Amino acid sequence: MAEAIRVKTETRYRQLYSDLKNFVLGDSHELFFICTCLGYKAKKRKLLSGVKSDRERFWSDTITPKEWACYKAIILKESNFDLKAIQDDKATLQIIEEYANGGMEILIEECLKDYVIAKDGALQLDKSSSKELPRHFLYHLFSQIEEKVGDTE
Amino acid sequence: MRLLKLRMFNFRQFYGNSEIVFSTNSDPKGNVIVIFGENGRGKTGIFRAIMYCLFNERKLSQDGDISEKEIQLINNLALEENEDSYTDAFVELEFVHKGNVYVLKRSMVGSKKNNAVEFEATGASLSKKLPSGNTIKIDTSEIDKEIHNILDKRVKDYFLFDGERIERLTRASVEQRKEISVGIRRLLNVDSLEKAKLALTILTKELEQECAAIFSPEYAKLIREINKNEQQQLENTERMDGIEKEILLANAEKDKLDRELDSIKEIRNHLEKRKEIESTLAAKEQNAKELLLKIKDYPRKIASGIIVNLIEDVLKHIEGLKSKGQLPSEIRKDLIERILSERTCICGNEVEEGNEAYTRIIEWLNKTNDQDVQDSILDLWRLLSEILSNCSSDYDATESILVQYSQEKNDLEKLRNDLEDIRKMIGSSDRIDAFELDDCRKKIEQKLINLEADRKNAENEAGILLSDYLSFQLKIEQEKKKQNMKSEIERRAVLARETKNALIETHAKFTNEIKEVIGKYASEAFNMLLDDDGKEMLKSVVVSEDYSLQVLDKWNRPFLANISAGQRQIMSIAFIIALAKAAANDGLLEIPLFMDTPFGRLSYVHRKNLINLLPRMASQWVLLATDTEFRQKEAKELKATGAWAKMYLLKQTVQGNTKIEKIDIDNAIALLKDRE
Repeated sequence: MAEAIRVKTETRYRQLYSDLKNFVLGDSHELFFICTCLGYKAKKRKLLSGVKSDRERFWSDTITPKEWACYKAIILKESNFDLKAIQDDKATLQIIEEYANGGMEILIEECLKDYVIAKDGALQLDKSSSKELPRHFLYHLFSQIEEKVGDTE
Repeated sequence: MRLLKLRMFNFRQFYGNSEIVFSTNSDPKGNVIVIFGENGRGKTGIFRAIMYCLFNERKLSQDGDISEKEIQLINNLALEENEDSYTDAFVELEFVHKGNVYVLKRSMVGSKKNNAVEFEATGASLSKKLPSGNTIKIDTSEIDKEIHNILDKRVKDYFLFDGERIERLTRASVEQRKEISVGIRRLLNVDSLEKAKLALTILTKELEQECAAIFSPEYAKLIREINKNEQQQLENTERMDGIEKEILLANAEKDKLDRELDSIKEIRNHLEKRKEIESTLAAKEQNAKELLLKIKDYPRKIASGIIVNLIEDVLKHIEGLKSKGQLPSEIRKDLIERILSERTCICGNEVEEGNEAYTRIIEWLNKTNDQDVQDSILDLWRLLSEILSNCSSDYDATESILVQYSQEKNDLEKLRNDLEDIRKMIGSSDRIDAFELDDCRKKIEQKLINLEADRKNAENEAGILLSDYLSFQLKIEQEKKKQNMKSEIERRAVLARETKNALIETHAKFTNEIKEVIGKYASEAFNMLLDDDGKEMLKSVVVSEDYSLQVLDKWNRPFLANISAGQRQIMSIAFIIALAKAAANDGLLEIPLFMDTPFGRLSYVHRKNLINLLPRMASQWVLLATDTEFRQKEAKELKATGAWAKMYLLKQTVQGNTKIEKIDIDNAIALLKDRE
């Protein structure tokens, strides 16, 4: 990969990213990836809102090659397989950020709403009721997997 | 001595006036009186009334550590009726001894204020009616002396044998040895003999110290050593007494713990189960915690499964490009660009803008990508293929960890429910932990082992000290001969030492004789009480050197460890009878013998033999019995002896007091249970 880029999410998810990190999954890029997958599956792209200066969440060089592969697959499909479209990481990430943003809304609505509380417009995890969240989170993702994966054997 | 009548007023459970007629002076008609009642009805209360009347003592030996103040003699209902005022009570005993009829009365007064009971003995009177018909009133200050002449206070505890004491005698323990040695000592009345022994020891020491001051250094040294040895022997005896006392206390503590452990036996099982569940629960909780930590590694593995359709589409497209030869390009882009700039094809034909060759080359150029783009698409193809091939195994691994975690959670739920059920069964979470009791018991057992070891050491030391003592004596004799020392002091010292030694020997001989006599009487009683099988196998009872009881088989081998619980009880009762017989100098024991629930573990044949033997052993036999051990069968057997004089029933009244009811013997038999 070329130069590292700051990957952005909405300002109001800053604390939520921090709370979920190392609790229900590993680093921030993993949550971002999951949100992207959910957003893409639902075809939900959403422009980022909130204070611009507080959107930057993590560096693009933490994204794994397989995550990049999925992002590029999305861009290829979006560009009707224009092979040149995936050459620009920055442009790729801009689109992916919008899918991740849409995906986060879905994730909150379908999985996290009982575990998060809003404080001054920002979301954060209610740790007092989140003991079982890792299992619930994984189970939710598991239920989102395309049926064909489970049927492959 | 024979009891005639007992009258009680507001004494213990007996509210108001109560009376028991044991016998009449003119016409005794049998010497067995049965006092029948359930536990707690006041059987022991009757014995306590007699003991209080005779000896002015509130406490019985079986009261153990309870202080005298805690033993309430005045009836509670009467005290409550007279709250803030005084309640009178008395016990009056009429008995006959050597033809004289005595009436002894002790009065008391009590009060109850704010649940605190005050008690005061208010006086005693004793009258003595002579065979001539004249009645003498004994002076109050002389009452105790008069009673002592009839019945020695020190043997009073040997009137009553309750189940507990009988049980204690069956155990091969320090308690048994203590009980037997106390019994024998009291019978022998050896207190004065022991005082004389002590006085002579002191005198001998003083005289020999005087001698030592007069005679040679060697002689003086020997005297010092023998005195030191005597002091050591004394200290060692005290040490042994201390150890014995500690052993008794430890055994009592162990028994108490055993009773407690027994009473919470069921709870102990629950507690053990609880411990087991708690430990499984802790392991499972740890396991679930670890699984939850592992779970966080799985979301990133399966997330790509969410977009598997996309991945497949993209792969299909790339593979299409590959199959068409567009990826990688069959003709390199730089080659096409060189042809276009040089306007000559590699085949030598000219390539001019607008001709067919030019059009075809431009088409190729458009289909061909930069090397970087190609490389990145090929990388993408490789990575997506890898993702797709891992999808299924990641899916399975995720499913497996979710199932595993869910299983652990179910197990935990079940264990928590089980734990809750057990907690409910235990009753209260702060209940005494039986395991702590177990620990205490183990510690006491260890203490007992150590004490037994100490006792053995002390006994060995006693043996060594005695042998040293004898050797010193011999050396002193030799020294005396050598120096031809004869003086008045020395003669007196020798005399004192010889007297002391003779006294010790007499004491030992006397003790051994009484042990033999008691062993003989106990064996006789044992044989009379045993059933035929027992008689076939067992020969005699002996009181061993250390005062323990032993049973010998027909080949004179110790057999105690092999006999049944019933036979052990028979052995204990035989010992009691032997004590009574020895106290009566082989005659009829001139004191009434009280036995509280003696039939406990006995088979019917043993009971029958006991019923037939005891009326012949004592002037009076008062049998305190409950309905489980005195049934129709035993009653009929007792009636057949012709010794059964009376029966009294202790009945509970509405207020929880006891009423004494005399019952005709024939009616009594009908009232009793016909089987256990």
